[in-house]
Amino acid sequence: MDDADWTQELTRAALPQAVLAVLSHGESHGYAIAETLRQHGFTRIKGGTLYPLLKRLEDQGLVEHSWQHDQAGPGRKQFAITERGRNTLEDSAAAWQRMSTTLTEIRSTRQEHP
Amino acid sequence: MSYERHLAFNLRIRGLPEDEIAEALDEVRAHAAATGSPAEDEFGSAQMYAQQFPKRKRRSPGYAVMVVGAVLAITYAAVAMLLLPFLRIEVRDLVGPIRLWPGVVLILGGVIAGGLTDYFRPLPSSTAVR
Repeated sequence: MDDADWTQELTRAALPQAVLAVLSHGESHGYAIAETLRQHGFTRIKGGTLYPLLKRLEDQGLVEHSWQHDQAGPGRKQFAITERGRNTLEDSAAAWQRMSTTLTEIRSTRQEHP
Repeated sequence: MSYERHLAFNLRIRGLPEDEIAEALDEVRAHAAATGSPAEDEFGSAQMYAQQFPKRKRRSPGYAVMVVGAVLAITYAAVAMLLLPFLRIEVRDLVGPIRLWPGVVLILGGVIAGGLTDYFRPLPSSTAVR
């Protein structure tokens, strides 16, 4: 597996938590979520990846949406995290932390092979 | 417009109701406007993006047209076979040596008309509350 594959795999695994984390700071629309993620070092998340994920999160009751309209142009779909979403974010952040700790332990502990 | 039409067509084939298709189109429109990129660059081909939506059991209007074509074809085949023994009418005298070609035409016509129905059906209007 080369570097690109690792990044892709990790991005896919981390994305739901990252999106919930962005929304935990306030409601946002799709493009702004993608931009925030990019500013924090994620590869640029395209609409074809982001919206199906937001739909899945919404189906799970973790996110909700409303439509907002400015003066001109198409409306914007604003996403907000729900209470259930906040709880899930806490749980997934803890699980991610445990996994990180486990990986660190595996790397740093010499294994005695039978 | 073409991308939206392609997407609407592919979502109809997957059985999505019109209001959900309208919402998906609104999302594509809004995101493309925000990024300034063509929708295809952001969402991939309409066919690929449509596959991200779970398939539904609901049938599209185009599917209903195809079913009508198939039913007419079966009816024709049944009538064509029963005309000779019951009414002494030889269908070959009317349609030529290949007795079932009108049935094949009905099936193909149904498939084509069904596809065109789903493709050229007007795009659903925006679901966004103004």
